[in-house]
Amino acid sequence: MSDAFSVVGKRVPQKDGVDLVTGVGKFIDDIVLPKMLYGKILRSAHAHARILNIDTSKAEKLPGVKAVITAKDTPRLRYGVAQIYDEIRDEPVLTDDKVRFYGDRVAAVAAVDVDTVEEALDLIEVDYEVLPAVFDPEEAMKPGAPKVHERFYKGDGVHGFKECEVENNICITKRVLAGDVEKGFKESDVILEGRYTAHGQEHSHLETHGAVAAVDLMGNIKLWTTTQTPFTIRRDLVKMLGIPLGKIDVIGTKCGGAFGGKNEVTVEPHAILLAQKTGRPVKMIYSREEEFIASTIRHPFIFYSKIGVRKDGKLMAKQGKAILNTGAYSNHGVGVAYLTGAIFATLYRVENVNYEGFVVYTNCTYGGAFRGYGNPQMTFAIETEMDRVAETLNMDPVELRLINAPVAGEKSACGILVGSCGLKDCIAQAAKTVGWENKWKGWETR
Amino acid sequence: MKKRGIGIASLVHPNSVRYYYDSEGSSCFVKVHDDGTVSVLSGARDMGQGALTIVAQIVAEELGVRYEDVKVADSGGTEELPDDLGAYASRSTFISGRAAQVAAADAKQKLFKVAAKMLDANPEDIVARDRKIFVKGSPEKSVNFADAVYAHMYDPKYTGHTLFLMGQSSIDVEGSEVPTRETGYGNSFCGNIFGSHVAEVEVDTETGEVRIIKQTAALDVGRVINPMGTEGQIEGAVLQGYGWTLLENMIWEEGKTLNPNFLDYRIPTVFDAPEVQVVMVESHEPQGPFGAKGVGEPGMVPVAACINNAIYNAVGVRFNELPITPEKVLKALKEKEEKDKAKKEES
Repeated sequence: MSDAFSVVGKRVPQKDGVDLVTGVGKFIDDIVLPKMLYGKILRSAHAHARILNIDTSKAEKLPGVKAVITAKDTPRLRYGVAQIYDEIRDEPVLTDDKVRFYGDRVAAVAAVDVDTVEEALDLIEVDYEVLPAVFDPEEAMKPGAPKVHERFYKGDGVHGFKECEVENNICITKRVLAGDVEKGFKESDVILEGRYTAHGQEHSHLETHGAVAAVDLMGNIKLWTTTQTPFTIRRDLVKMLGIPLGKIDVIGTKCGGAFGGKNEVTVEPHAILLAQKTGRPVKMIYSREEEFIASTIRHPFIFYSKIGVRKDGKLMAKQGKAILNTGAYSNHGVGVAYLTGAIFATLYRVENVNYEGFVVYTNCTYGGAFRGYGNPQMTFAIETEMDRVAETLNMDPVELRLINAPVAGEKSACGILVGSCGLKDCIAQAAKTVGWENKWKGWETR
Repeated sequence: MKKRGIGIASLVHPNSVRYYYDSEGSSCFVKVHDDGTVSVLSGARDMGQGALTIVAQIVAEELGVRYEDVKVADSGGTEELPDDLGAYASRSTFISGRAAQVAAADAKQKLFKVAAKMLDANPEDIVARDRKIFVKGSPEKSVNFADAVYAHMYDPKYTGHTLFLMGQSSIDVEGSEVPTRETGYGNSFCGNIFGSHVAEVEVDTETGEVRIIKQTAALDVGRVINPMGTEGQIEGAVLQGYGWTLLENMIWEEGKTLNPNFLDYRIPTVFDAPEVQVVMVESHEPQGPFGAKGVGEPGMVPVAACINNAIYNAVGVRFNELPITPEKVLKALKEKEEKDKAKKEES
């Protein structure tokens, strides 16, 4: 079939391959502009603390320092990543009332070189009132737990934003409901339950986050950044800084890996604010340590699963409860919680589904988009449970999966159209390729 | 003792989700030069995965030129590049690639009006391939792609016009919808990709170490645009999944990350890389360019479950907590041994 094509399906070399292997390609740190300054962020010294006072006077007096900014130099807007009805705005550019995790942003400095910036960060004096903190999302959901956010702004997509109280640190609960799970469990011969925990993960892209901002005399901003999503970043910057969209040109530089981590804004608003204040271009690059401490991670999950099956292997009901540790801010938590549920209802054919995804604030590093978007965490739980089901029924795990695989043209319980679907082929070909029949030892050997 | 086992796990993952925006848009500009070479302005973002390569292949195929004839802008900002939501959710090939195909088809359709006159044929009856435009079934009756472009630009005798040649597109995915807030019902996946992995592992019962001997990943990838790109994405995803399952361990104490560096937080290196066999189960995704799907994420999804199931097949212990470290394996083996012993004594 591929012969019908002359270019598609061919092993052509990567367009920018030569640039990459010869070091010609320009990454964010290769951008150097005349009179450019360097910037860095002062981060929280506590997991949870109220900021009583920030004294930047010593830092400002240090020779070579050109600007120091705190929350008072920002428009004090909150932002979030979603664009339609579940939009939650909870994240500040620089935090004004309190710090919510170790990497939280307290101040930013621009100076003539990186050494001076770092020295200036040490000279900023912050008075904190340390607050009780919470790290376990299930603890955070209990009444009386320390509150990570007292309130946030929530959009309904129609009437703008409303200030809401946050209850029990639950940022949002997303549900995927179909059929009648109780009926499904009643019709099941075997019901299995399990609790799984999946940990966080750092994206570990080789190139760390970074941006360069330059502002011209008319106030037009040019922002170079290593991003997956220049247009989304531009909209986010409008939300964060209140700048008209037409004033910002976001230029994506050559990007050294992303894996979802470069969907998000990191140093872009700070570089812009410092460039506006100094009238000079400002470069900001994350250290590897900042990547771990301050950039987003894969959401740590707790997943409760309950599956009901008939003796013949047919799935009758699936119940799931995901507790996402979203950390200090909601970020992509809302989308991850929904998508996890939609996939939970779609992987195999099942009529009765009850899924709840709780996005819970804690004083941990916050979660974001990461290759798989909640799916690896949930699939770890549910595909381990499918093996337990197969063992309980004394059935080959390949066969159990074939029995429940959807086919092209059907709709999953939550309305997902299973368009082009080769799951049965994939299961059969994977098993055939490895010689499953000869290698799988059966359940008895346990 | 080293014991081997085998485990299977499956996956489904969307190609983009209609959720944050009620749009799954992308757009593209294609400009054809008088020598028959092509420049593309695409909203696709390349972060090392090869998105620009894919866009170039799609445009070359659609227009009937060679891969080396197509340049895709590797820089540019939101001022001049056509809009695109971005490179996430396994959407670049699927959606940005489709936008490139539609823009190329737009230029081609204009060019074919001139080429048809040159060939004395109907525009519907001609095709373009490998720098030639010819009547379907009669490749001997052809005109050079570059000559047709030149005629489109500078020779009024065919259509009465001399026009520079450009194509453009602005697309969305048909049939996808934002889910309801109450029940999550709705066809939010713009496309979907299914797959199944089999892991073959070796567990050292003395050290607790788990090694992947081989991971076989069969994925329903739609039409493959570039097999090297597809293999690269799936092999990389397996390695990242392997790291997450067995090696990478973020240590937090009261919210503070204690190992924020690559010495103490171990990501897999080439020395850890298992053999990965990618099985591409080709199908046709009607909304993808030439039937293609996106493969950025799915290879990562079932890795942890797959390894967990293979460990159980090897040594009879199963884990409900990640990462599966050697310490946890040893502890579980010891508990199993004690349980087995007690069972034996009972009987």
